[in-house]
Order: sequence, then C-alpha cells, then structure tokens
Amino acid sequence: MKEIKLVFTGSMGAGKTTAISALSEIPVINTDVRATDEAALRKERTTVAMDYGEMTLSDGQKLRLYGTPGQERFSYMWKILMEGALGLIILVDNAGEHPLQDLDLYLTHFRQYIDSTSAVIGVTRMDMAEQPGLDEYYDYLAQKELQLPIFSVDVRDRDNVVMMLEALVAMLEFAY
Amino acid sequence: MHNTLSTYALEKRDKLFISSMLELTNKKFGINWALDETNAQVTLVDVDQPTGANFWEAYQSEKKLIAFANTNHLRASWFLEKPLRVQPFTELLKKLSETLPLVATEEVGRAEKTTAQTRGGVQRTLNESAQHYDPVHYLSGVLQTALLAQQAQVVSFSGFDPLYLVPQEKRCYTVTMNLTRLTPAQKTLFSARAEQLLQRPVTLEQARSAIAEQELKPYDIYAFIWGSALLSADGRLLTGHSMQSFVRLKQWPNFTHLPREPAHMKLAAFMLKNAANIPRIASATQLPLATVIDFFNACALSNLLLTQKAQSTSPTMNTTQLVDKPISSEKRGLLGNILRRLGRT
Amino acid sequence: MLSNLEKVQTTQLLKSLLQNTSEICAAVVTTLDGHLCAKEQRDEYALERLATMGSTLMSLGDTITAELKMGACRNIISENEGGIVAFMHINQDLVLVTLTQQLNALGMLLAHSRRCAAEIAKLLHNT
Ligand SMILES: Nc1nc2c(ncn2[C@@H]2O[C@H](COP(=O)(O)OP(=O)(O)O)[C@@H](O)[C@H]2O)c(=O)[nH]1
Ligand SMILES: [Mg+2]
Repeated sequence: MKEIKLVFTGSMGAGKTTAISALSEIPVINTDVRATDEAALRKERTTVAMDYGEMTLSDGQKLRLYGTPGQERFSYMWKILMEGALGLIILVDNAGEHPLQDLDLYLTHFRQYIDSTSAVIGVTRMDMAEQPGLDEYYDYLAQKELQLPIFSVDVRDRDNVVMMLEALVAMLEFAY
Repeated sequence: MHNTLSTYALEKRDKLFISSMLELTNKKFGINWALDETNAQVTLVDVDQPTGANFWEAYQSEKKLIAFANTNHLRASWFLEKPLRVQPFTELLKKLSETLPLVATEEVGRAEKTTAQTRGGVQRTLNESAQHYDPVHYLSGVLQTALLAQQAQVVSFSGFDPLYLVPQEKRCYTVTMNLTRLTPAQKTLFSARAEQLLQRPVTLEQARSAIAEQELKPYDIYAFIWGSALLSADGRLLTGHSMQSFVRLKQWPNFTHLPREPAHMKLAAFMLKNAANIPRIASATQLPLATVIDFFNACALSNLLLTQKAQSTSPTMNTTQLVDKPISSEKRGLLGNILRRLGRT
Repeated sequence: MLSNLEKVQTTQLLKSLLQNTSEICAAVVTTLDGHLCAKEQRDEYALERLATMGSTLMSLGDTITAELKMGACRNIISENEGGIVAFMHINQDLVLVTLTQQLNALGMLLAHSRRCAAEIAKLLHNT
C-alpha cells in the first residue's frame, strides 16, 4: 500500500517538531542532536535526520508526519522525505534573523512540488517578533506569483496546527 | 433607481472611506449612488498610483472617469482632490448625477419578502431591502464608521461587557474571547443591529485608561468587521456587488484570529486559485449559496477580493475545470478521512 | 567546535590511519550536527557532504538502537557494490566516517577505524 505522508519543513526553531508532536498519536521519533554552531545560541538541539509521528485515520490507514532538518546543508534529506508526499507545510520563524529569506529558500527549493501540488505557510513566533508583518509575506508571495495559504501561528496551540492542515486539505481538494 | 460608481487603484483606507461615505451622502443629500464594480457608470481612479495612471491612460476616452489626486495635473474634467472629504465628494456626485441616467435597482423577489424577518429578536425595518446586506445597519457598519471618523468610542450591547473602539490603532478592546470559537452569546453581539448598540464617543485617553483599568484585551478591528459581516448578513449579498461578477481572492485571510467554519477553508482555497462568480463558487465547492455569499461579503468588506473583468478570456478561469474535477474519488475520500480525524467536518 | 590545534592534531591522526592501512581511502571527522572538522583522503570524494550525511545516519542509528533498547550504537556499516563505508562515534559530539574500496576489508576497516576513533577521543579529552 502507498504511504500517505505530510512533510513539515522550514527554518530551524520554527516549530516543526512541536507541530508534529501536537498531532502525533505516538511519541515523536526524533533525531535531535546538540547544536555546535552559531545556531546553538538560539536553540540547543537540532534535527539532523527527521522527526516522525503518526495519526490513524478512521479506515485504519496511517497518516505519517515527517519533519525535515531545517538547515540547507541537510537538503538531501528534504528530497528523500518529500518523495511521494501528499502535502507540504512550511514553517518560518519570524524571530529569526532573515525570515523572508528563509521562506525564499524553501519556496525556491520546493517550487516544482508546490506548483504541481500545494503547500501552506505558517509564520511562527510572531509574539516574539512582530516584524516582518504578514503584509510583507503577502507582498513576497505576490511577487513570486504564488497563491498559497499563509497564517500567523503558534504551533504550541494544537488548534493552530489543525487549522494549517485543514487549509492544506482544502487546497488539495479545491485549488486546481 | 440609482447611479453606480466603481473605484480603481484606490488605497484600502480610501476605499473603505468611500463605501461608508456613500451611505452618509445618500441619506443627507437625497442622491442615490451605489458602489458597483461590474456595472459602473463612473469610475474614481487614484491617478497618483502607477496602476491608476495607466488605467487612466487606457480608458479616459471610452469611460467616464474621475481623477483622484493631490492636484489636477491631468486637467481632468471630473476631478476630486485628496484627501477625501465629504463635502467636495458629494458635490461632485450631485453634479455627475445630473449628467447621467438612473439605473434600475434590482428588486427581484422583494414583493414576497415584505414580511419582516427577525434576527436577534429585532425586526428588520420594512424599508430595508430584504435582498441586500447593508453594513450600516449592523455592527460591521458601526466599526467601519468609527474607522472613518477616527473617533474612539465605547459601544454597549445589552448583557455584554463594553467594547472600546480605538480606530487610531485599528483595534477594539473587550474582555477575553476566542474569536475562532465564538460562544452563542458572543455571536449575538456579532450579529447585532446598529440600533441595538449604544455608542458613546470618548477621548483616546479615556479609552486607554478604561482599557488598562479593566484589563481589556486588544483585537484587530477588521476581525470584528469580518465576524459581523459573516454573522449578520444571512445570505444577503453586500450592496453594490453583483452575483455575476467574477472574483478571486487577492490573498489568504489570516484565519488564525477570525471567526471561521470548515466551509470557509474550502471557499478560500477555491477562490485563491479560481476567478468565478458566486453561483459557480457554490457549485464547485458544493456549499449552500448563502454560505458563499456570507463569505464573499466578509472578504469584500476586508478588501480581499479582486474583480476579474472578462470572464471568458481570463486564463485563470477555465470553465471545463470546474465541471470535471481532476482529483480522484480515492484521493477525495482520503482527504475527507483526514478532516474527520482532525474533527473538522 | 574544535580549536585549530585540535583540528591539526586530529588531521594528523587521520593521516597516520591512511598511512598505516592502505585499504582505507578516506576518513572524515564530523560533528553530530553535520559540520566537518577534519578530513584525509587518497581520492577526490565530496567529503563536506559525506560529513553532513554521516551525522544524519549516525543519529538515525542512535535513534534506532534507543527505540529497540539495544544500548549505544557502536557503528553503522554500509556495504556497497564499490566498497564499504563505516560510521562510528568518537564521543558524544563527534563522528568518524571511513571508507574502503576493498569489498573484503570490513574487519580491517572496523578495527583500525575504532582504534583511530579512540585515539581522537583521548586526544580531545586530554586537551
Ligand atoms: N513564543 C513562541 N514560541 C513558539 C512558537 N511556536 C513554537 N514555539 C517554540 O519554539 C520552539 C520550536 O522548537 P522546535 O519545535 O524544536 O522547532 P524545529 O527546529 O522547527 O523542530 C519550541 O520551544 C516551541 O515551544 C510561537 O508561536 N511563539
Ligand atoms: Mg526539530
């Protein structure tokens, strides 16, 4: 049977692991290790292979949730994990140094997939950094001619994570 | 019978100003102008904007246009000076209406609808069109007017904590509420009619000290306008809009802080990618017409809609796409299963 | 992560590993979060990428053994048509990746690599 999976990607510390934990029925399998570089200043541990969680659907099928490592040097994992994915969730840490550049990295890298399928974007930690505001993200998307759902989210709140998935499902069903 | 106006390249603020101003001027000066993006006799163009200047260039000979700018550098015969003020605007409209024929107001089915409907225990006045949704009669209009007037005020509604409007911050303040999951009681506030709301102007300082004292929480005023539009229109189309115009979403609504239902995600997804008129949107999403119209109104009042002119030639509008859905029934079933698992059906 | 002196000393240990065992054709020390610290090779491999992937694989190995409650993961072996790659912990934060093109040299690869890893661990522990 074909594997059904959703992939969470995005900048380091944006909340991929937290989002998957909010949904998963099983304890999230994660491959976080101690960060040794400048990133360690912001976050002690970083994902180097993947996060993995599961949800069981009513017909017994498993919906698999994968989180990718954030940094570009792990982009080979992005490709491996995206193989056959049903949809993509991109999280951006608004409190990071260059959130719009971060978004650009993922949108550029996943552009082909997004154009043929869809994706949703969640901007996290807006409570820690108000700027850039959502308007700047809208402008950026318009400039790239991308029509994608974008939300300000706090992934510690399960409702926010559910909302992103709901938007993703709607995009897959109605946006063609 | 009325005259119709549309706008082009106006800033959001000006656009909101105009729609509220029309309401005021019509009553006061005995003229009758409506916003109509598809069937306008006259178009107000912000020619200080590059897109507006291009539009002017392209259409000045074939359409009746009003130049809206700081100075009349284009020597337009119809000119409105910035910033927008009520008096010059109404005088201009008055003069214009003398040069134009009147358009018949759509009144289909009005005859059967003369019995007043009830909402929130209050009867709709008989002279109010049963067919169209006019924000001035509801909380949404009260909020819009407050934004327009830039006047802080406190709004009371029976049984509710006060709602402080601080348009200078584009915010309103009240007790803690989860906008995404309104309680039935809170819904009555959002569907309240203007005459049920007691408005009292206050100074900014008074508002701020009351907010601090009562530890009120801030909310985006547009989220309240959105909620009120959704909950008070009851499937009636916003005045000045047509069921037949082709629209799409300019950007995704930030549902994180908006009252919402599962249907709204479907509508947003469809309308983000497709330009279509209301009946088509309803059939593509298989949602009731009233749900589509309520959502349409909320988007229109939040300035999220793009009106598409030529439906048949538009590359984004492919009618065959709407007929045979490209996703397999297997995939549709899977997506439905996911929503069920998330408890969102 | 490593000081310059430590990098030089570590590279020296990799050099002697390759000198003493002609079958080993490249060796890399990487942090567990994928940054290359030291390298030595006979051929032209893309060792930066190998370093990052080594960290991915090592932490997957750790995750698997933890999941199965099999204690610490000693090493991961990848046997391939054109040779063998071994991944092993030096300490909590560092990983050694070594490779050979000899298909029958697994025992030798593991033995020498393990000794080298222990030497590096000792060096860093003492400095
Ligand atoms: N203040 C704040 N913290 C957040 C928000 N979203 C996530 N976090 C926190 O940010 C951290 C994100 O870490 P993690 O999920 O490991 O990010 P990952 O690197 O993308 O996997 C966690 O400590 C979360 O609790 C948010 O909106 N606001
Ligand atoms: Mg993580």
